[in-house]
Amino acid sequence: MIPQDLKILEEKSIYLLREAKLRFNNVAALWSMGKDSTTMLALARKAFLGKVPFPVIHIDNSIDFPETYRFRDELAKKWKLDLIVGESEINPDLVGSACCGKNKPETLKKLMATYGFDALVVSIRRDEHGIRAKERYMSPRDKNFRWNYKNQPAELWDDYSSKLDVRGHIRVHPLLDWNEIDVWNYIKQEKIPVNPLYFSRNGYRYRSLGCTHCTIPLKSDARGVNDIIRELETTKDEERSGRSMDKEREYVMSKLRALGYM
Amino acid sequence: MAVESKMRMAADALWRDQSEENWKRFSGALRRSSIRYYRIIFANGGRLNRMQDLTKSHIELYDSKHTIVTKVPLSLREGKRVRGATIYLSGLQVWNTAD
Amino acid sequence: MEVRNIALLGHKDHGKSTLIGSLLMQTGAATKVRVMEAEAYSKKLHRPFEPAFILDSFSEERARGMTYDTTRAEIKYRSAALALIDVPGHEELIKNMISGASYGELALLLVSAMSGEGIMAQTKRHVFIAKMLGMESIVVAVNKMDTVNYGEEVFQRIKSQMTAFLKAIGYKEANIAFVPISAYRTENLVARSTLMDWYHGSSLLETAYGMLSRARKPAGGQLRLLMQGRIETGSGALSSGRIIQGNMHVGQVLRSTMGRGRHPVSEIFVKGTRVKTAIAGENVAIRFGDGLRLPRGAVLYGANESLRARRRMLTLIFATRRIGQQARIRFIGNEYKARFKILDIIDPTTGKTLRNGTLAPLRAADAEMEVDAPIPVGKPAELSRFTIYSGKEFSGIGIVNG
Repeated sequence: MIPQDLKILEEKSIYLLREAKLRFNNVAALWSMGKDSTTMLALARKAFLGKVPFPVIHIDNSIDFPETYRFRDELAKKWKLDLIVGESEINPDLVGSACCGKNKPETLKKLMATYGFDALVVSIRRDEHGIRAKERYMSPRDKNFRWNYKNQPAELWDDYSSKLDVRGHIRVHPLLDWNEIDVWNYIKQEKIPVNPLYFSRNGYRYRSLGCTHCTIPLKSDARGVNDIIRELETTKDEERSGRSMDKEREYVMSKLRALGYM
Repeated sequence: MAVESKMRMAADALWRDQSEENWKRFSGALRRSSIRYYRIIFANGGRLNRMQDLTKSHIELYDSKHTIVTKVPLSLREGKRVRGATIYLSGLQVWNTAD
Repeated sequence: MEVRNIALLGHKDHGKSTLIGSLLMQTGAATKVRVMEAEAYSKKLHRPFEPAFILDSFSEERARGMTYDTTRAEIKYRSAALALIDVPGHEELIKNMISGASYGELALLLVSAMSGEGIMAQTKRHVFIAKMLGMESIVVAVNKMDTVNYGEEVFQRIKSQMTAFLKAIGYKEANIAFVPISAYRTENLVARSTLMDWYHGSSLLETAYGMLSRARKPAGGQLRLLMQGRIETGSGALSSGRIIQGNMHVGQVLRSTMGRGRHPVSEIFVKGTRVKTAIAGENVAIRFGDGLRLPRGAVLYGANESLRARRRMLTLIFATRRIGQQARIRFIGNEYKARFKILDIIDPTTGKTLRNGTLAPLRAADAEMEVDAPIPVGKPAELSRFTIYSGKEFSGIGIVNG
């Protein structure tokens, strides 16, 4: 895993976050309380001088980790976040992820319609998955959240050509260039608060956080940010290998992604 | 042992009635006791298909020496609706064992 | 670690995705899961292991053996992180190719040595676009050398033909290198191949690395600050912008290409903190002493310097869709109406001008452009390039030549 220049990554993210706020009327961000979306909020605070200028959405299936809820409530208070909680259901899902599969996007869809959001900041990174490497910084979704990945808009020279579809929205990806290790290096540098589940207890830690049902811990003795960075420097395992959803065939993932799975 | 008996009462109350009011009323007693860790046991070998399945699952609660203290339900009811109740254990830490 | 971007170009099936897959395997950068996925998918399609599947992630891409959209993979080599940008080779997907390749600092062109493949129209078109995108250096990897028994003859033929074309479209000979490889057999990629004793140059990665260390961007110059817009912050409403050249400081007096007057800078914020100076590459939030509110698309510069904005200029444009006389252009984040007067239609696959042509898709042109408002064209590169729209559709790219 290759660490990149944090200054360059940071500037690009700040640019994209400001661009999102300037281009769209009603921006919101997804916040899963994981390390990536929390880092995104820290970047938004830099871009807008200490304030997060958009509401943050937690899609909650009511069985998140107690640690996650606590982290959410404490940070929301500390950073004065405008937190919107959308209640999602547990329902049978074609790909076998009743807790987090297509149910969360369904809740998000309703929420987006209720509030009329036209842009959604999502903290995905290119190195997470082969499919995510194909994403644009600004990427249109239609009203059914479908990603037309076979016909993506051109994007070059700071021209983010994505057009707003009728009743659709634009996904903004300010962390697209970041690698997992960059996020941790930045968390260390900026002392960003992180969910305690990332740190080892009893020989286990979580590397990627879903809900209590779909997240499996990995064996690790990394008790702090420095340990995690050291661990990542040598690992060859995928970050999301602890998420049961990702064990599905990749073509299913591709279909799911097009349906709006995040 | 007043704290511990209040905790036992709270667990019993939650098993009798998983209403949201009960969770609000009794979860504080759980957190103020010797309980430090939790572990979620999903029913049906971990298969979860719908909200209703949450009622078959439960949470084991442990003290600082990792000894099991008591168990509570995983679900809560708002009228007829079933929801998870993990938010009421905010403050506890997950306990993963080697299986 | 510094990331250097390499754009992989070339005709479809000449091995771009295979090359990246092999490099990821050889440098140990591929994760276990991605290699396993590629193995499983190769097996499913009853084929020997296909390294391209590490990169091509859409099911359709794997089933059809073709890249749909641009993607990126990073490998570590010496002191740099090399980001390899894979682009689709198919001509219908040229919009995706341009999007991916626009981030490249160095062009890595693949030409297949296999009989019946060789230099194709798309090979040349990609190079033409690379030059427009500002990649001044190019490494030509002659691939599939295993299919010609690693013989020198095909390599030399491709080298002489390609050199002639590259020079015709403006590449300097010193900025061109040729390397024979087999991406599939991993020959001459990271280490020198032992199967081609007639070749005396370096391996592919070493060659690319050497080219990149020469292709440095010049730093410094007069201040050029691109205004992004007005943002509401924790410290009130401020003007947001990005410095693309030079530096600025509190107390400095600036002028704008939109509107008149001299504007003293009273406060600068970078990364959320109040600072005295800001440098190129930084996004700034500024408060002006005169309460100035600047429109998006304005360029700010030092009051003692000059920056002329104009409406008419000579351009080189490349069309991904038909471009008529009237179009819209986007220049540093702002949209303008533009009229084009075509001077010459150019065939990017030969570099030669066509008589009586129209500006059809995949063609280029020298054109005179007139914009509905003056724009500050010049250096650096950000101020000499634009994207073109017909109606609401992306239709091509252009650079200002004079």
